[in-house]
Amino acid sequence: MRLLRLVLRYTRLSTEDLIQFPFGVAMKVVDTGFRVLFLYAFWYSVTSFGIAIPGWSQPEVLVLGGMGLVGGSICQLGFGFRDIAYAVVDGTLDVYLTRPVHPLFTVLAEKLGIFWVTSQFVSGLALVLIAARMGNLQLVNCVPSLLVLVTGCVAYQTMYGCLSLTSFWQGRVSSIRDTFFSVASARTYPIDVLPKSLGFALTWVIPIGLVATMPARILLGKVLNPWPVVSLSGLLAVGWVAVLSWLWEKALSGYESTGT
Amino acid sequence: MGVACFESVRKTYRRAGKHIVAVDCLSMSLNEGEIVGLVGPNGAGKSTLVKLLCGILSPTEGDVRTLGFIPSRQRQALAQHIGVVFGQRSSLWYNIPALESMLLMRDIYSIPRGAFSERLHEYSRLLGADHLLSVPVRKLSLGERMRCELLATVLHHPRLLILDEPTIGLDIAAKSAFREVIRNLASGLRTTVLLTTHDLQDVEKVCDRVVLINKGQKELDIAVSELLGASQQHVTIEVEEVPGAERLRESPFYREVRQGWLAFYLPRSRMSEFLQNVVDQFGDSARFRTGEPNLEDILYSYYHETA
Repeated sequence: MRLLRLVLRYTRLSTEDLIQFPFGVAMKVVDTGFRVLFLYAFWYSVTSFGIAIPGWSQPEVLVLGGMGLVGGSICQLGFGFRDIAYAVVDGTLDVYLTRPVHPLFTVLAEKLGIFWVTSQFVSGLALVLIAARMGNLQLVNCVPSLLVLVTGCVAYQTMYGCLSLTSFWQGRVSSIRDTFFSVASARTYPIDVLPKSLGFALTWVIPIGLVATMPARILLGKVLNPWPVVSLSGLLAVGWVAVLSWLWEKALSGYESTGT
Repeated sequence: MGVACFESVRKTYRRAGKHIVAVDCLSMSLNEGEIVGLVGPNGAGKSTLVKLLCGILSPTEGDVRTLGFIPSRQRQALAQHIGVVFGQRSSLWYNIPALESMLLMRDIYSIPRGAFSERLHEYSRLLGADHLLSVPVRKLSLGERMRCELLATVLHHPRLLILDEPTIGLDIAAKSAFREVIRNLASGLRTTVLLTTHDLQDVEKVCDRVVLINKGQKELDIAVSELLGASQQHVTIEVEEVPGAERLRESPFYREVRQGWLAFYLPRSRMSEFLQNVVDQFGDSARFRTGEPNLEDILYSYYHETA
């Protein structure tokens, strides 16, 4: 109950924070519009020019793009992992540590970007629904697709969180983060067209395939039995959460704080 | 009854392969309803002590107990009962009205709505912060922000309030209001307050006891009334720094240079002898003035006289 109250409170705070700068909101709306438009234009052009993407038709890549945006929306909930390094280096973490709430929750909640969460979700869903009108979706696969999407995002974000936690030992870790981001930018492309071993690595080692390609394939009925994928994805998420939890305890036990 | 207790606590940091001792074999306790001033020069170990007390740091050796909890192991449970203001770090949301941050505190500490409204009204009025609640924090002055910081910290009625340099930047009226809130909490709710400060007025007007820390060790632990009694026997004299005046630095009463004046803290009984000595050395052109007493002067003097 208290957790729910806090989630609602932070959502309100994030909204209040957003509307303090109306021009900024307008620019973000324009930015989102361009992103969706470019995504649509890119895949429309690629498929219209007759460039074959094995296993993916034009409406199907739109589903992929839509799932990528919805996945991005869920991943935005973990955006605060980016700022752990700053909180450690500038001492803000000390403030979080004196509250009766898990500091990782506070870091994530205080950095909740409500606009990006909402706008990516809405635009992603819109793309998926547009593609659905072309009749390619298997609605029966909605649940497993969504489960893979959510657990995949959890696995991906907690993995990122683990990298961020290395800031307790290393200080600034922006270079590691940039490397991770550069690999992660591949998530908006169909991972299954890559060579098998690379596709496998980008699905089960760095799980970017689970935040767009795999949920889209399940939704499109391209995976005959999705439940083993759901199970594996769930296990991966649990595993990374366990690693994050262990790493957090290790980090705190050796935490030396900063001066005042 | 001991609210917090340090027993033979030692804390070391590792820096470039070396162990730096921040707190060394320190024992002290805080009692219920007591306001304790923690003072000492920069780097003395005050902040480390504060962080050990609320569980941010673990002691290398010795035991720390706060409100019956072992802070480093039960930090989150302890946090429900303490309030901490780090003077340099904010708990407020920067871009939005301060009231929103107060509502966040209500949800974090599960303060009942009725009690929250009452306390918010009472303390914001006392701190002169009621008109600040609707203003975005970024538009507040430092003093106004500190008032809101304190307000956000006391709303859940912490049993132990830890204030790290809270009066920096406050004007006289705000400091006075701040001290009144602290005294009300300590006397009315039996809240224990640990205050780190360099401001003698804070210690004199609010604290019951003062603890001097230096190089990680407790050098003095004394009731403020006793300290002030001793300080009235002393006087601060400042002598203009003129060529040759560096000789005066060898005086046992010498403390430091304050904006071109050499400051001396000495017993009143030795004042005429001291002034005569200066006149003998520099003639009638020597300029004197009485300076504001400095907390550290008094503490160090007391420490050296009793040691």
